[in-house]
Amino acid sequence: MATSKERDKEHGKGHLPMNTPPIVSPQEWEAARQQLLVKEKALTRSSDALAAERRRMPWMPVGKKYEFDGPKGKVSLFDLFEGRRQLIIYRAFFEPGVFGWPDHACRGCSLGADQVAHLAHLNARDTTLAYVSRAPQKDIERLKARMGWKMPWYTITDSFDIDFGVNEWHGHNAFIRDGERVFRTYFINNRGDEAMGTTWSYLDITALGRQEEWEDSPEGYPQTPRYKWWNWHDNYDVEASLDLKWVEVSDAGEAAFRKPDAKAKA
Amino acid sequence: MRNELGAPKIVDRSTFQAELDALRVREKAHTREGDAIAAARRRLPMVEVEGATPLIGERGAVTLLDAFEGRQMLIAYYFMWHTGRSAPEQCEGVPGLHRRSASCPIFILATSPSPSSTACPKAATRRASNSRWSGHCGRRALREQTCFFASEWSAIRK
Repeated sequence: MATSKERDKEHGKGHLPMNTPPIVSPQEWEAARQQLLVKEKALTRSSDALAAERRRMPWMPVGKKYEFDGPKGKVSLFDLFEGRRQLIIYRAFFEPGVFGWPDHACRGCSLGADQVAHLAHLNARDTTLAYVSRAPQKDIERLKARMGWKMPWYTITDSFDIDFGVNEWHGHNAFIRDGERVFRTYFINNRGDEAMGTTWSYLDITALGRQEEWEDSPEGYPQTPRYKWWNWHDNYDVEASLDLKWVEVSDAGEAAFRKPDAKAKA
Repeated sequence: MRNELGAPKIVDRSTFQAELDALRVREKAHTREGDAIAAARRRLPMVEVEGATPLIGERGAVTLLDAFEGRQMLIAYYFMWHTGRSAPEQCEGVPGLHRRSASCPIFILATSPSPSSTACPKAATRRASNSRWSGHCGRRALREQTCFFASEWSAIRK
């Protein structure tokens, strides 16, 4: 690892060539931060409200029988749910004619694939993420091994991309199933795709949301207390029921956090 | 299942697309607002902190400046971990889950060796309880901002 000083010598770096903001006292800085924090909080609330609107979108039935190639052969759209209630499908561009082929998928799609969070958390909310491309499975398998990507990744064989707005450009489609009936519930593309990758960003585009009690969701939607369902990614399957110690710990943490006095003493 | 969910409206493709287009207006406004706030972050003032602040890394003692690895900016996330305790005990007895999110300073190397030696009292390097940087003025100015996303997700939601 090069030290910062060494790199500065090598690259002539370390001093910003632009006009930087003023250097101020911690108090002044904190005041400026607090002022901006008001806007930050408003944006977070606005994001919550937007997700609540998404949960009120109507559902579009998917009647057509789409077929994909998977690692074990032909599968249907229904199969892509892997038994879970919701499914998010990202169309990644990896096929002949796309820059990088056959060694790589499109650069933007690859950057996106690199920021996909550990899927155990999303899966724990009954939601599956899958990538789909036009490339054959053998190429997808090779790409996943090369890049260290773990998400399920299928080959489009029909008009799925055209029908769901992802034939020309990338995008995330969200689906839900009622038994074997499948519905499209949302679609995110363009700059919306930039923000995808975290457990929260995925859940926020689904019909059911994060499924936490604080959310503004239509009546009857599944909701559990926040924090309580969180687990280590290697422990969801191991732990059959809620760990009572974790319940206690997260309750204590939340109580302390929400009381500034208690926080100061902590 | 749909009954249990309060029966969401089932619509055809064109109606679905129209609803999607209507909500897309809000989506885009939200994206623009995020851009505007990021622009405001870039205009926040800076606080100078001690680049020589000691840290322990995988290979032993390093400084805060070393943690930049030669790059111009550094994002530091404070990961709560209590030495000597097993993983299940990590959050025990403290609001660890939440406190971890309270401290996420971003540092950036500044223009001159010491642009403002008067604006860096000792306290500058220790903001509230959320950072363990300490010491006094260094030779370089570092920019400190708080990583709002990390602090707000779990922390400020009420």
